[in-house]
Amino acid sequence: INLWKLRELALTPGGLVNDTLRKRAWPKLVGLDHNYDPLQFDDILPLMNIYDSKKKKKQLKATKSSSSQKPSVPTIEIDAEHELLQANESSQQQQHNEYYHLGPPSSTLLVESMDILQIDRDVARCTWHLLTGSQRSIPNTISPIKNKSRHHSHSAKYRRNRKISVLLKKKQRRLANLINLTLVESYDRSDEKDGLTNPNNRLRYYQGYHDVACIFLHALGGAGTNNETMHVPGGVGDYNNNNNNCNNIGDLELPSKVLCQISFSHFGDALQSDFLKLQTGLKLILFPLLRKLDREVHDHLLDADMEPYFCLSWIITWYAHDIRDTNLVKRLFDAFIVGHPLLPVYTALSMMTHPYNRRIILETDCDFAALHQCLASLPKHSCQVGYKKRQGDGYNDNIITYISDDEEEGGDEEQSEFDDDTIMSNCTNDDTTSYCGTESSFPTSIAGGESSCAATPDNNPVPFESVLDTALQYMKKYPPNSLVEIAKLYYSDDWDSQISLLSSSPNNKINVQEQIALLNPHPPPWSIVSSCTSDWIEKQKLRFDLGLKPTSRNDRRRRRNQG
Amino acid sequence: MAPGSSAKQRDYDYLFKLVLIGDSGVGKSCLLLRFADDAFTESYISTIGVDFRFRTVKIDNKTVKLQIWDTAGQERFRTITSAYYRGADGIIMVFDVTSMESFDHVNDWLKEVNRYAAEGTVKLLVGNKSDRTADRVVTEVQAKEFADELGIPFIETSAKSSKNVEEAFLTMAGELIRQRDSRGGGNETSGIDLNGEKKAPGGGCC
Repeated sequence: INLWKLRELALTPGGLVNDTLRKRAWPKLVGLDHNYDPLQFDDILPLMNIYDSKKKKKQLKATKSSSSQKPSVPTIEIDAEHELLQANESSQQQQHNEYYHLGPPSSTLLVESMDILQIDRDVARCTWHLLTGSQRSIPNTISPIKNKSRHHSHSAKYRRNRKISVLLKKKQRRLANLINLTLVESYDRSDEKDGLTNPNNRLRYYQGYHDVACIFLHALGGAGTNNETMHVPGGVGDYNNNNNNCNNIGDLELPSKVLCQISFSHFGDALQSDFLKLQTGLKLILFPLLRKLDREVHDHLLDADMEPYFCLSWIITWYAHDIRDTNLVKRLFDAFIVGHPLLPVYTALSMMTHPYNRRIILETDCDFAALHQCLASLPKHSCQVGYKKRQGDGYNDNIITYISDDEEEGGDEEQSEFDDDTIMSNCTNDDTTSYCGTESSFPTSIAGGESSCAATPDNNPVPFESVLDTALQYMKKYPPNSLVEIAKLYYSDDWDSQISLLSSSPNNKINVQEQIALLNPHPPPWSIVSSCTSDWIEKQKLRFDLGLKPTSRNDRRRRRNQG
Repeated sequence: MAPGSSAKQRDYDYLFKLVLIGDSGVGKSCLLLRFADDAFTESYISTIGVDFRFRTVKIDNKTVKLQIWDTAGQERFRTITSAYYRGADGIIMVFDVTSMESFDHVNDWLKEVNRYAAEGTVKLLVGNKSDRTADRVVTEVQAKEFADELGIPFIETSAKSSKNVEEAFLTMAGELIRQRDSRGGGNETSGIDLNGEKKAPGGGCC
């Protein structure tokens, strides 16, 4: 497989298009040698047990004896509630998160990372990208305790809501498992590198990493997630089918491995034990580069004493926190995975300097708060899905009422706040591309989705594809390895104070390129490998290892035709 | 939103900048959501970095515009969010009455405030989630004693039932008005001075 070709594809409009492709491409793009990845070769899965058992044994050491399967709804619900209570209990006796602690008896987690409590808190509040379409309008408002009141218990709506909230709880559990699994996996790696167990050098969870993990789970999370969204009209998942997935490492192995690679290569600064490196990095890059790219916008922001933190969530969540169209976020991830770790920052700059956005910025009063709000809402000019327009400040943060599209594709935030019927029709009718909004008067071509959406000025005035294109142009013009020089010129005498956060003693000469991963000139080897073996060849190797005869390509074709 | 020249058209008598701080998950965003939109949701999304909202209230026939900043609770965000309470008029420290840990951490938050906020900054301690009586671990008496020691007003709220939420913000606003009036003479001048006044501490620190 020509990886450069694949990387190029990831950067072209539409990216890698769908999850089936992502499942195959992302692992290769992050240099994973997934010889024995069961997800890829499910037709010879049964034979894999021999190999798996070896590997599982190793994992089991890091796995607590997970509690038994939960066969019925009530149990799950009680469990979820129980967990909430326990989260509180455990926060009292919580010194244990200081250590790499394996499985206290209280939770259903597979493994526990050092940051389990914070992860639990964030995952419990994570809903958007875990659910789809009309599901999103309901579960937030449900309290499991309130539901017990008999008053409502017979209505169909109540039952549907309860189903969704059970589904959500399960997905949240999966997400928590993924994050913990990934972090624990990363400990092995950083410990290996150091040659000793050094908890100080391990990757640490930050609020926002869960948004990133959520997208990886969505794209690579195996059949479980997809079935849930496809089976039942109206989006209520079939929980019975997926009970097994909840506590199954195998299912999370692919996303966690890919995420682990990306965590080291792209989120290295953010995953430190604090944000000092990330903060310094942003300071060194954002404004100096902005001045090069757009002096006027730069001066306007500087006059208001802006700090570069308005874009923090864009950078540390790869826009997953700010953009609610899951498909669009996944498409961005395609680009960011193959791109330099700074591509999200270039994207931020490209978004700020887009003619439409820059005009809005320049028209905003030169006031810290006004500009902060203006800047923070820029992503909404590229994707309005999930936001309800509001008089006044232009958008609404309350996510109870709106519906989005992503699974169903096509976003209509204008009509979204109405009753169930409208919701359903929204879900099914909008077959247009996810980048476009709707305005029914505007004839959106379904077939030519991508090109047509670039020309939809009234809905997404700043289409993300063009933002990405410009970001790449900026990157060519001012490549990452030129940024330190640009920053030095920009700050000149003030340079030392800018980087003072990096070192406790002021006299040390600090090499920012060594300190800040974002500025490190040496990419991981896998990111520039030019080719890798295809799945088919991997499979042949595996068959060989297992002592089986190789299959011919004809066999494969025949089987595919049958299937 | 408004074209450049509109700075003169003030639609308020007072503008105050408030900041919500406290441990992750204590309900800062929910308090703000309740106050700004009168809405509540069990699982509000985690705040990454900082957010802010406006709400305008009437106090004694004066229009008071509150600019409320909401911050991420995880410790690592403190170095970033502290930049935002430099120029704050008031700081609301929130803990969760069902979490002793969050209450214990109020001391840490206070240290942050004393380190970064201007001296006259008005403080308020808020114990949120008072509706969850069964899970309560911090008693009202305990928290009140603690607040008295520090000389900070204390109020228990429930963003869920909306109990005392309005009161908490209005207490804060009332205190700020009193302070500004006693400090800066007439209302009108203090109103006009706001922009200049706000910039001064921020500029000094940077």
